[in-house]
Amino acid sequence: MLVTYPRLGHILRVATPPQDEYRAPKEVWDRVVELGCDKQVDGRGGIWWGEDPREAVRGADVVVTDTWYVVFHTVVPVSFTC
Amino acid sequence: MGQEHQKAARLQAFAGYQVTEKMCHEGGANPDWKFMHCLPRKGDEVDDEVSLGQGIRLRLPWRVLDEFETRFQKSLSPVDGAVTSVLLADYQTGLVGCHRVSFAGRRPRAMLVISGFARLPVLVSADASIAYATYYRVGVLGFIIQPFGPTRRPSCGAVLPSLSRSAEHVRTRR
Repeated sequence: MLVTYPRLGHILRVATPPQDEYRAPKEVWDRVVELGCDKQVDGRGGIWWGEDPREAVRGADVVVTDTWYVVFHTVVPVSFTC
Repeated sequence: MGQEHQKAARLQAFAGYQVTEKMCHEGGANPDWKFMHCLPRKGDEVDDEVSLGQGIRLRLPWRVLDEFETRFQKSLSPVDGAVTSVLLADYQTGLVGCHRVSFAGRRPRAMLVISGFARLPVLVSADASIAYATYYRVGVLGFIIQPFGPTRRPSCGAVLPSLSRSAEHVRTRR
């Protein structure tokens, strides 16, 4: 989602708890920056990342979440797109 | 193994992150916002009002879903739109996943239940589907059950082609 949606022009707004473990892993975020996915271009694309889910859903067309914990794997935290 | 501890920590960290109509309204989401989930749903991350009310759209590539809907509309044309809801039942939390196909915004009168994710006894999915049907007061037209072995968790992409074959099967049987 981080490296694909912005390139398709979607604005991605993500809310997670503040701890590092709920942020994107460094190698993923490096790739995001390398691709320029974090920046808006002509009002399209871009990633906003914060802690407040209410702020994240502002203007959202689609709200996505995932389960917060699984038994055997690491979890993909809650995220929102619009 | 620390998993219970991890679960407790996650629940605490994500307190307040549950997706609800209220939260999305307060946050200023588009009034027609759609909910998506890649399943299975646990229940903490989204409340019943959202997941039962508007249904869950599987987080799949749109192209796959479009094709999925088109095939269903075609293969179920004999019932002339009576099937306006397609349910993807899951095993884990009872009623879990629902992809509703809405035909011109009409209220579903019947639904076709597709259980593509059942790796536990299919009756669990059937139960969930009946609960859904009762909730919406719609008839259940039929079940398409895709049983999978306990170790094989199918990806959605792998499921869809076999689902469409099943839909053909239903049509020819009618």
